[in-house]
Amino acid sequence: MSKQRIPLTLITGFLGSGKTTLLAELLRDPLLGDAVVLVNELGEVPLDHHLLREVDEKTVILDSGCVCCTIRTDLVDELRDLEVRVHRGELPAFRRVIVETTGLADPVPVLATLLSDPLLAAHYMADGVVTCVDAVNAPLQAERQPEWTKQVVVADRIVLTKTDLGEADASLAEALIRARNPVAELIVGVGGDVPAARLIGLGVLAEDRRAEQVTAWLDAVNHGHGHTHDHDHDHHAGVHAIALRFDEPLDWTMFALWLAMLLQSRGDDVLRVKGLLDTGAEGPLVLHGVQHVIHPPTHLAAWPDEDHTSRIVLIVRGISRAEVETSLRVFDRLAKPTSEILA
Amino acid sequence: MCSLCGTLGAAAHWSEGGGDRTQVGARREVLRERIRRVVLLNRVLAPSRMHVDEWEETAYILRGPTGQSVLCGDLAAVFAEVQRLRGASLDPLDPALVEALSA
Repeated sequence: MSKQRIPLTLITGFLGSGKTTLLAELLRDPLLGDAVVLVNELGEVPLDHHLLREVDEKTVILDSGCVCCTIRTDLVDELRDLEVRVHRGELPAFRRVIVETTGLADPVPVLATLLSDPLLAAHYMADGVVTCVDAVNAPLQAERQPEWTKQVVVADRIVLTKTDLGEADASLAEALIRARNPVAELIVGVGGDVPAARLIGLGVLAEDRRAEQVTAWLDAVNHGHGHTHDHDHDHHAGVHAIALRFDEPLDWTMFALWLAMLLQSRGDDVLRVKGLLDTGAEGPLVLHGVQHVIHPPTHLAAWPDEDHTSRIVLIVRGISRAEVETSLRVFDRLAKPTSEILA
Repeated sequence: MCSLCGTLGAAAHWSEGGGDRTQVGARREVLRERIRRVVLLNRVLAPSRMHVDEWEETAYILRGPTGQSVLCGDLAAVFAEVQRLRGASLDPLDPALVEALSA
């Protein structure tokens, strides 16, 4: 693609989690000077920005009824309109987009929308999901609000807010977050005071940063947070991370078939997937998915490090590592003889 | 694209994007991969007495155990139709299926 795609950052978080406060602070940073900001509603926290647009979260559930294919038509309309107005010279060119969701929104449809609309897919790319978590109310929301869990699971960065309030238990909130998302970087952000560079420009899908993202996930699952081994969290959220390694090259055609089948049968329980796969090519194939939204996999020219084995991280609910590993090995073995058949 | 619907039309299904396209004759490679995908699908679907054929390089024809056939645009559609025809999804983690495929 010749034109550089515009990065889109999604800011989400449950009701009262401090999204707008965070956004108001971020907008003071020159990094966001050439950003378009799409908010659902202008609330009590004043937002000052020259390209601030208000949108209504309009969603269309496609005939399939799949929630992930709920398309945010307001975003499609707004982003298309912005492109047209820039071309007409009515608006200055912008280099990034920030979308703030409502507190009860599922962030996945925004990601699905970016891939499903041909124009948006050509012009925009998800930069990262930033989720605000209110340290005071996290225990209650974790227990009662499935939206909270979804917002935490899909996050690339989590900003823990209200830790300065007396009744906040930041370590409990962190444990609840880590149980559901062991891989996102957690940042304490009292009053929205977080440097924009830590939240904006993450480039989770950028070609040159994909391998780095996967290895960061692997580090987080294997070492980073101490208590993220898959058995530790089965008893609370049922959500946990599984890290797999395969020494032999994986058959990509069979792997894709296996994953498509898994997403059809257990898709609600497969929350995220990232991987560097050795498919027998020179460099690895990079895989990135959020629920049913799988981004087109890309081949890297070279491996990012000395380790050339396939490494996959899945964040799942109620699925064990043994089930996944056994199944994948059986499917992969089933594929191997075909190379001789078709040679 | 959502891997469940797979029919939104923005681009090819993600599963068709991972092959090695660096060789000369990329189209031939795509076709070869499609044929291979069908071979593998049939190995996986055999215990369910279902069968898939390639159709005009654009779709797959899924045949159910009682002879019904349905045109599927991509892998996601194949497994959605498998689920519809069986009345239950085909779970790759199902121990019975894993055992059947190990035999």
